[in-house]
Amino acid sequence: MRAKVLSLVLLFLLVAVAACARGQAPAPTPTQMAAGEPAEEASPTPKPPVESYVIGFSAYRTGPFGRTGTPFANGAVDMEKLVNLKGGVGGVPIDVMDIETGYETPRGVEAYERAKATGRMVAFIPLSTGTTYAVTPKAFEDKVVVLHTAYGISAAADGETFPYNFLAAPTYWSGDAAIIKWIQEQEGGSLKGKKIGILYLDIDYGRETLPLHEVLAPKLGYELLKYPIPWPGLEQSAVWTNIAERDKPDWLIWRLWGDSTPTALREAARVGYPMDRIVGTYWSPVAVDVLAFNPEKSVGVKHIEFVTPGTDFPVIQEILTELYDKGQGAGARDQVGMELYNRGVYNVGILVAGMQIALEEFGHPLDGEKLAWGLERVTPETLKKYGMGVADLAPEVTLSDKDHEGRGFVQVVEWDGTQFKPITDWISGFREEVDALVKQAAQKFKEENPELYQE
Amino acid sequence: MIYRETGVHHTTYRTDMALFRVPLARWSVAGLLVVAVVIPFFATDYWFSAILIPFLTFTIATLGLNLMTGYAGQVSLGHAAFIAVGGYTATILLIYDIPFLAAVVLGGLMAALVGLVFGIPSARIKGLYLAMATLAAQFVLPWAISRVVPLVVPTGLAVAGGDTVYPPRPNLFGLEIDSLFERYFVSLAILVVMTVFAMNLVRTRVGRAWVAIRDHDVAAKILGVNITHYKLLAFAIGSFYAGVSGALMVFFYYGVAHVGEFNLDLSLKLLGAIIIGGLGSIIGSFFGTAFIILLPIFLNISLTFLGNAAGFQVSSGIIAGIENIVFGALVVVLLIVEPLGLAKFWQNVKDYFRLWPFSY
Repeated sequence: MRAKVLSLVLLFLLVAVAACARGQAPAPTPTQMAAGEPAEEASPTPKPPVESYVIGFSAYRTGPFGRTGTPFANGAVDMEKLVNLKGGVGGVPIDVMDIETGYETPRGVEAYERAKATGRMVAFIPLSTGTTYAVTPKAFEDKVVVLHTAYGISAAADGETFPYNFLAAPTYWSGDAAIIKWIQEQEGGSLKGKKIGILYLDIDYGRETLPLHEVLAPKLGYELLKYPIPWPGLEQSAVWTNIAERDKPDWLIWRLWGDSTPTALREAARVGYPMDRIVGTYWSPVAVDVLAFNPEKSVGVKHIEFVTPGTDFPVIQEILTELYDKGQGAGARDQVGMELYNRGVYNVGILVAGMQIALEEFGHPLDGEKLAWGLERVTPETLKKYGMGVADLAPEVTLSDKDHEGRGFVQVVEWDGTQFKPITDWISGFREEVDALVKQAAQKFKEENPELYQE
Repeated sequence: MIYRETGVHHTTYRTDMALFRVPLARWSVAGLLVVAVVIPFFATDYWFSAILIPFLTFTIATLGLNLMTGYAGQVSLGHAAFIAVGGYTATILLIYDIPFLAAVVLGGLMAALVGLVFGIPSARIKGLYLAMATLAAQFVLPWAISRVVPLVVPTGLAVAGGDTVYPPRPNLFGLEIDSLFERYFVSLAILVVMTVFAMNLVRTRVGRAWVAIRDHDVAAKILGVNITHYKLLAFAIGSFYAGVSGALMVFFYYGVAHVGEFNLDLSLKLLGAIIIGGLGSIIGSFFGTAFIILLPIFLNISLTFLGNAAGFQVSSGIIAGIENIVFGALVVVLLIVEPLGLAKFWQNVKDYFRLWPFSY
């Protein structure tokens, strides 16, 4: 019995090792690639000039953030299938390598390297702050686009400092500035004497917008109340007692993530804090959080969006008819149209737009550098032309070689009991203060990493 | 036949006290070292960044935890926090132009100091209670790091957080450690030194005292072992290993000091690594790290490969699920088949070949 079990285990390991060896064998090293490229270009072949363009993607459908990672990953994979149904990028299919990482940075780094080993990776989607930090210096070297939409390194909005990092979505600073702007409008134009609380996870992500508020609060005259929650944020009762009994802030801005969000919703309901006075950042509370708590009790809760949620867009309808109606969808049908799902669609869509723009200029084969060039030419018009429909989801994005953020427009969306619906047009605010922060952070990064800028 | 002591006579104290007393053991270790030196000449970027360098750096941390928990019996749930202390200290020192090796060693010493402080409760409590006390380190230290680092580092990535720091490129005696190749060899050299030190340490008075304390602390005390002293020493040395590994992780693996990586999850993983690898075994630390860090990657790749070979377009979600099931099942099967871990399994193999092909 024992020997049998052992031999089974050994057999499995053998298979695994053999598989890895097979998986690795055809991967050419960068030098081989460089040597092989000119020859391929020279010989005209009817076949697609490149097997596929790989977009590495550190997905997480398991682990502590699996609930939020799943719709995003499904959106990205569905968009990949739709793009390939429509003929890919100039006849070359795209390959979104969604590698499960469970939100662990070591696995994220492994996913990056695995996608890179194909020799055809043009872009990487880290979907985690830690992985973005770890792969950014690598991307400088490998000349691969790192797309981190509204997370990761906010300083990457400065395209001159970060040539390969793209947000293509507003930074946290732009987001909070827009929230303040919107609140100001709701309060009749003045925030004098109002109390605005910030409920944040006490990690770098949560603290990131505090400097912005420290600039804006004295200027606009609102009182800034800070409510830090220790990571991972599953115990919040003390903070909520302060909010409800002592401070009673007029508005609450949330900077939470993952399981801390349903907890916060529960606490807000418990202490009776009005839901319609809660405005979250992009990542909390999202639809899956609200569903994990209670959809009816959460009516009125808001967050800001850089991609419009919903299914009333041609691209989403196409995904539904082409994939889900034929049983080829990546996930559950009712998650299609959630904001996180649409963000996955948008991530792949904007990369495809960048590739198509670059393709017109350079032709096949594309690489990360050419893709970055293409992305820097994304405007509302070019996105409409090349974005395979994602322009409807984010119509205000304008990238340039200086601006990798896209001018930072957001929408406020509100939970109506069944879904998040936009209640404003695309707004932004306090660009001067935001730009100053971006410049300052980018300068720090440059000083910290002189070796990345040596030529 | 293949692995036997028969005919190997030790006639001097020197040979009797050698680390490897059988010629075959010496040869196999030498062979292993040769492999370790030759591998990088064939390795791709993937092998360096995703397999080799993480394995080397994490193994140092596992070794430290094994000294602390496996040999001295002091359970620690705060190991990742000690790794973070070492990593950040070394990064900060490097920013202030301290030479690379000194920064690594000082990072280790800082972690040792912090480990010593969090080891003080071990004088009074043990077992699960000590685990809870060390858990405090996992909550206090990352918090402290995120407050202290922005004060001592003039830079810092996020303007607000300020605790994410990219270290300058380390250089060793004027030679910049830049390529993956160089990073691998520096990590390997440090790992070899740390391993040899650990192997020797566990057969000295210190190591024997640790084992005595682990097996029965009252009995050890009656025998005249100063329990408090050796327990604190275990914390200091274990944390020193953690600190050094933290420095190498930051410099060579992540390339960035980000406090979020050194979370409770990592502490638990390392604890799992030494239990699966074998408590109180040096080689077990290597096996355990490979099992915990590398096996999930192997599973993921092979499942993807098998799925594609069978002609399915398998979703990463399904692969993730299967990976977790298989990994969990392997842990359970392994601990049922061999509760003493992979090290004992390796011992069984050696014992089998001692007599092979004649089983008498």
